Amino acid sequence: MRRLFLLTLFCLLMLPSLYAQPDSATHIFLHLQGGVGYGLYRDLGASPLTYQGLQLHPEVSLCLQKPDWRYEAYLSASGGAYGLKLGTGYIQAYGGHPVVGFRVWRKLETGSPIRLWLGGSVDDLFDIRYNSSLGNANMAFGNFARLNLEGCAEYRLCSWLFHAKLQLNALALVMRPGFSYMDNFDQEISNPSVNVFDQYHTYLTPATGVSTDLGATLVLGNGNRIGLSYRWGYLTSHSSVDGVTAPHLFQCADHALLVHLGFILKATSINYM
Amino acid sequence: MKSIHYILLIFATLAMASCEKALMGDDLPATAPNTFDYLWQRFDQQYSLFEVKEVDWQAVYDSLRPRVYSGMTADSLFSVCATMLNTLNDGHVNLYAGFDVSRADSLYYRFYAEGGIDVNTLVLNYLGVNYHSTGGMAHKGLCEGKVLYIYYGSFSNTVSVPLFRRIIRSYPEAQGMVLDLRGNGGGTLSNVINILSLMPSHGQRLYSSQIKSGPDHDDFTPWVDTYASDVTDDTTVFTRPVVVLIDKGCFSATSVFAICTQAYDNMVLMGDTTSGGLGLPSMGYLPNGWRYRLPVTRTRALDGKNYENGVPPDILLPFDRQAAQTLGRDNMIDSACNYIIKLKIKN
Repeated sequence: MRRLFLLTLFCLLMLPSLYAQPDSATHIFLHLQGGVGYGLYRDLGASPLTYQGLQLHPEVSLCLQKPDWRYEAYLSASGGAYGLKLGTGYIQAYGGHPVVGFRVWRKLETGSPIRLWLGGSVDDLFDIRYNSSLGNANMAFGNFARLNLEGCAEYRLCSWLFHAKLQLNALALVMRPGFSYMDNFDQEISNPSVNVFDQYHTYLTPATGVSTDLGATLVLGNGNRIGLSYRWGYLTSHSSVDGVTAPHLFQCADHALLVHLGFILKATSINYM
Repeated sequence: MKSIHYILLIFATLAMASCEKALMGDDLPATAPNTFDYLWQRFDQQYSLFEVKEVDWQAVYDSLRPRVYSGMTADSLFSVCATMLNTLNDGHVNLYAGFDVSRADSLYYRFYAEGGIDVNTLVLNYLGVNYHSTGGMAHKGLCEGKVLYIYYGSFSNTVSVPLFRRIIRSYPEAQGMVLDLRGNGGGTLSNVINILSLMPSHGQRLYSSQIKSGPDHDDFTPWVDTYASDVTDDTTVFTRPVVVLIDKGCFSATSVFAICTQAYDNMVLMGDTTSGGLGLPSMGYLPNGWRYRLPVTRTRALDGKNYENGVPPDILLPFDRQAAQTLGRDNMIDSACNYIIKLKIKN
């Protein structure tokens, strides 16, 4: 998988055409995004089975867009109900993860209708999974503090702006439940402030995921935007070779169809790009 | 030419979106051999009490694995898996299929055949049908109010500190308390701490435990101590004698409560040895969707011993079932009341 990441990154970096575009506008955008999705996950801590489910994907972000730079603080989430049909039975579970982060993009000057942005982000993804039928192991948390590489290509056609985004989770500090999987155990009853998460493992690992986003946005006359996009994301905790450091592999993948609204909060001049 | 790059990027994006199957792979096929092997391995790596149970887990596998084959019926597979788990004779070990639940047969036999309580006698001749019920505890004053009798049938019934304090304050003349835990199969450990917090608690150590931290049978975290609450106001605690009645029907959190009494000078265990179950259970799924339960911790009392197979009483007193059924008398409650009253006279 690492080779795949590196290959994709290489493709991004090899995109040439780095010359200037005349653009002097500075905008502050409020982006609201929401949609529905389909997802699947597997957490080997308590189950070798893959759950499938329906999700909701809300997101809000504040973006400062300068001629050659873009800064964005974002808060997003994806989560929903998951299930698995097995013979005459049905397993029900719930899960999701809020993400809070900040990204910086630099525009690469192409001299063509295609505008390329490259940059990165740091974010924190806190994953929660719940299955009431698992007793003391019914809840598990995972945390991914990530450093991401990002790229975006934009293409303008009349009032439409098409985009393709790619995010590679290059490095992450991951926290996952310990070997016995339960998020903590009985000491918490006498001293919860000390013992919460005391059985978790924290480790640094590369290449924990990737996400892509393809979409089209209609730029309105006043500069506000409305768009539709398809997003796919994959996340993995990796598993250890010693069975202890990161004992249980966690993987999830999400597909989402999102509606996007962008409002200009402040602009020095109108620029539709 | 530039557009080629954009198109390439789009194709790369779509290609990655379709490769999650390759990234995640398929689930382990839910065949009988896979299910049996997975169950055996999970216990081999996560079960915390092999040392106490003295079971050769590899030998169990070697003897039962030949009975497992692809295409066998679910009933047959369940039977083989249950047989494997029952070698551990652990009340916290279960296999849950949609059509059946396995349990430690001999332990359950002991619960019912050797349990030391007769509920009819208890309700009709001691509690009375008009007994009070507070926070899952049935209580009444016995011996003309000199003894506060509390029957607590399950640690799953939440008893908060204020409610327990209310019970105690309702019997100001009581010279002592009989806390009847017979037949209490356990529940939530926080209720253990809640009850103990109204005993003379000053942050003393109650017990130590450790959790499995790796795949080998002796991979555990360091011992971690659990402490009683630190009660600063002595007027709110029950300092008078407490007799805790236990029997073979006591399991799990009730056994934990029993070992905690070692940390209190005013508490004494009376009755029969409990059925143990001090390991905290976790759960998981098998490839075919069945669930299993297994303990992943081990616990030792203040005296350093692991009472996983049963906590012995300080005062051994077998239940007299015949007296209960013919005379309507509960010899354990009577003895506990006498103990408290004699103790008062002695003092």
